[in-house]
Amino acid sequence: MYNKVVDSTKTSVHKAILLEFGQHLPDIVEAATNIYEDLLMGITINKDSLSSPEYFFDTYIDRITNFNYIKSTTEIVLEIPNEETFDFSGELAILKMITEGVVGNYLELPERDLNVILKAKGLDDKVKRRFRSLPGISEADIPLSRRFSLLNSKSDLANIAQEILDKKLIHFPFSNMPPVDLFINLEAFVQENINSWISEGINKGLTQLKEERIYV
Amino acid sequence: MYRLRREDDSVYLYIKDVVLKPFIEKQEKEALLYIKELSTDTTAVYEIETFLQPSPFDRGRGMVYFDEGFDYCLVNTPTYSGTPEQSNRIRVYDENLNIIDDTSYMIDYMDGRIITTYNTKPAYIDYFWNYVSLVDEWSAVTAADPPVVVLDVSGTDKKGYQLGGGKQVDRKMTLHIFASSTAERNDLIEVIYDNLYLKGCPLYELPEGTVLDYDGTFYGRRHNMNKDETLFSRATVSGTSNLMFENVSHRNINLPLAMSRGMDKVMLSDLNAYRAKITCDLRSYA
Repeated sequence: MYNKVVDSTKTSVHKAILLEFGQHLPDIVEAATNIYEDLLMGITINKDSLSSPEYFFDTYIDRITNFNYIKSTTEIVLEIPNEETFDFSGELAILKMITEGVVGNYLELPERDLNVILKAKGLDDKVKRRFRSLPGISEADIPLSRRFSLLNSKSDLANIAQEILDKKLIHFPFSNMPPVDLFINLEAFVQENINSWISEGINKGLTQLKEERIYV
Repeated sequence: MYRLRREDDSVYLYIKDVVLKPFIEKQEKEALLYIKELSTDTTAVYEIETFLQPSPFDRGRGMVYFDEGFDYCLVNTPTYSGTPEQSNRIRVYDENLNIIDDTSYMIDYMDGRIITTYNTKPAYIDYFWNYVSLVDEWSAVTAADPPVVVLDVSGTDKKGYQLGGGKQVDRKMTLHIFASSTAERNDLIEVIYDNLYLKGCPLYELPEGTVLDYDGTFYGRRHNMNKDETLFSRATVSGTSNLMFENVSHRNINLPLAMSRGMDKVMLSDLNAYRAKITCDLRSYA
């Protein structure tokens, strides 16, 4: 009888806490949205920059919404995304760079401009190879107009590119910027609230038990 | 000077003088060049001519200013009032390789300069220097070639921990490591991690600031050439605990763009190529 009561209590409270956590997931997503807006959307960026945080906002929110927060086995784990566990693949690679910080000054070289350079007559093959191997956002799922490479502003390639294109390239706005920690504030938000969520879950679980008259 | 700045400086000194000691290098018989532009009618300035990469005089490096054995924290020896300027880390020679007495010149440890009078004529120098650049602001990273370590102390939480007075002070501390190869990065991580894990450092009072003056000379040396009277004070802040390093954690940082095309020369820059981060909580009780 005693074991039955204990097991029923555990099961009921476990379910209630899971339900409670699930109900608060929208709050976590909202907090993540606010943090993104506070930390990144306020930065003044050239309107033609291809690395504006506004471009990645929807994808970020989509991935933060679909993150696997709750892991339930015999115990419940509420996991908050961090630099290791969050999916930064594809176009969010740029966000990964922002969260880790980038050292040095860079220029944005749009993919269509890169193609112009690679077709330029008289340009040495070795130089073309160096242009081809520039690091950048070039995944197939990103529209061509949004793909770009990063060019060290002090390298000779920067001068060559600007000369061929006959224009000034846009400065990469997150050059030499310290890491922006998107997740530490999210963790703080959850830490502030998790005790009340657990208490609420326990109360609801016990109330449910009483209603089912398992307790006398 | 307020507490946060003291903590920042104390940790800086601990990492530079104690933790990174295995990375001290020695140069012998490097030439000293007379710099007319910096000299006056009474003072002659000589600069070390070095072709080393990384330069010993990049920001955050410099020559070693304490003797071996005098660079530890000395927190439990209250009778010892301070640490003298080095006496065997730097040796200056004349053109016949005779050693010049160290009471006849001052050393600018940051820029590698010897400041003397026209009575002596230094020509060569032996010196120990810090191979790892340690800086306390992100923007200074590019001012030096790797290896560079950036110390960042931020994010404060203060709370009570007992009935009555006193508080627990927690700060977030991050060390960003920028190395020039995987091997060097791994060495740095291991040395730094082991010197933080389950360890602490004293919180110095720093009544006269840090070890070096604004011009790179040992503090007070400009006014008093007696090294026994110009000591770096090891006095600690009274009524407070040591700074403890808690929850030490390390991870390597691989920027996605630097790796995305998997070819040679795709790194954003040398500094972004071999990176790591060590984080911990800096805890003290006041």
